[in-house]
Amino acid sequence: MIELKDVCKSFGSRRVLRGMDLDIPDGQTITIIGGSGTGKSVTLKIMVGLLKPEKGQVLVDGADVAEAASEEELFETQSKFGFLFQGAALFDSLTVGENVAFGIRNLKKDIPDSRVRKIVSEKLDLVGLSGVESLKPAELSGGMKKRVGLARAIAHEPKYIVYDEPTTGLDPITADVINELIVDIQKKLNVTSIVVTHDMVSAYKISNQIAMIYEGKIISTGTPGEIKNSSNPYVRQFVTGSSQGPIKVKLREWE
Amino acid sequence: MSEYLRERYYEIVETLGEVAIMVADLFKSILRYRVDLELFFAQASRIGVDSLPVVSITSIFVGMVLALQTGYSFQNVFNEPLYVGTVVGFSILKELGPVFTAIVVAGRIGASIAAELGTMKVTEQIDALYTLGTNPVRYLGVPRFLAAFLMLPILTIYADGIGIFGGYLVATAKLGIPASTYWNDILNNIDIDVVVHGVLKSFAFAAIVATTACYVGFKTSGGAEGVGQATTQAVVVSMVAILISDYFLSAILVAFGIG
Ligand SMILES: Nc1ncnc2c1ncn2[C@@H]1O[C@H](COP(=O)(O)OP(=O)(O)OP(=O)(O)O)[C@@H](O)[C@H]1O
Ligand SMILES: [Mg+2]
Repeated sequence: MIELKDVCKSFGSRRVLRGMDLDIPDGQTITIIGGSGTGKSVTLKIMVGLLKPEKGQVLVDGADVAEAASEEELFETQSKFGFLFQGAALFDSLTVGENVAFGIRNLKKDIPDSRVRKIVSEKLDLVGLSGVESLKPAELSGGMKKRVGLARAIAHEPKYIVYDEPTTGLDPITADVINELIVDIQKKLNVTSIVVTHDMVSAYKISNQIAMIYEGKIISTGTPGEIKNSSNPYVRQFVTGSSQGPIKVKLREWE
Repeated sequence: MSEYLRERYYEIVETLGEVAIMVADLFKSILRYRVDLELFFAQASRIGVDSLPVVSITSIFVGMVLALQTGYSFQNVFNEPLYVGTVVGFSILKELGPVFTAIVVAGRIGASIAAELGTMKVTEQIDALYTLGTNPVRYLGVPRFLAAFLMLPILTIYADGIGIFGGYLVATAKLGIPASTYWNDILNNIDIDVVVHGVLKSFAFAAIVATTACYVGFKTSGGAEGVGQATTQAVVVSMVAILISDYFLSAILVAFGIG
């Protein structure tokens, strides 16, 4: 269970999160939707302890991530998470196999090499990429990178998987394959998934719960059905993708 | 105006604070955790081997031009190229060897460290390291810092040798100074503490180059453009810092009777 309580975060004078409350029960797939620059990635990074909030609590299974006393304690909490980054964030200097093995080697000490190799090839199989261990990330396409990133995120068997825009920048078919992978992994590994996306097709397909973030707060949560038929004008504007409505996106920055 | 100055002042203090935190983190990591030797040797060979050609060329020419200018100047003053070996030796061992090598390494290695770490930062690889149980300062910073710290003094000693050899070539071939005179000018007038003076400074320069490059790299933001800026900044800041600190380090070392 992850609980965000009244979380605030600013960068300089820019107040990104302004008292965000969000509960994520175990075993769910929850999708966070919201416009560009509303702080979705920031929320995820706060959840896993990459960023510290100025105010509020981030409880992961009852332990406050922001209050971790030592680096070891923080890594302990972080080892519960697998993180798929927006651009996959594969380590360029390592091969695909070493990338996937990275978390196993660092988060779970003392696993023999042969076992690590077996887990790596299992996880690559699971994301539909076999026998690519010795390739370098530069040799992969965008979709393949996402899959390798996913294999790396699940390799140490985390309890929570965090996806930052898993389908952005992919063609619709590859995007759908990734969606299926997310659902598939959810079923096979019985994890809790937190997904950030702008892709409503994807959100409806994979989520149990959808939460919409606007002006640094969660303004609405509900099942895909509830969100689809929401009467909240902000939510309705977002899910129908219209420029007309209460959400004003500046056409030019200086307006 | 005062508003602007105050903001700059806050910025500088903040930056210095962050640098101090990173350096503390580096030392804590070095003292408390085992250094990954594989990563260290990879960096050491990159810093040492990759810099050899450019360090060789710059230092041999520095030695050559020093001998040439000293020879001509003393020819004018004394009608004879006296003490060319001594002047070349002192200048190279105390100043030009350490400073030129540090500047070449700042341009070559500082830039590449800043670009590499900066790219990793903007592509979220640094964040990815954290989420996979790895402290980036320890995994990326420590090997680079230690490698620079050990390799720059070694490169400096090598550059000293090459520079003095360059001086020897010009002194004998162009100025007509007998080889034995050149070497005696060096050996009779220069003590080992002159070498120590230069090498001690090169340790400090290594720390400056590595710390600047790592800090700037880890702080990079703003995509490819940000990486470009970080790279330039790492080089410019290191070079200026090397030259400024050189004066004060020299003064301090001399005050302690070293060189
Ligand atoms: N490390 C940082 N330093 C300064 N500002 C930041 C940092 N990270 C994020 N921001 C700012 O916080 C705001 C929210 O960023 P965030 O990346 O969370 O947006 P997002 O909702 O993920 O958008 P997108 O959908 O485009 O990825 C942005 O205005 C961004 O400029
Ligand atoms: Mg984002």
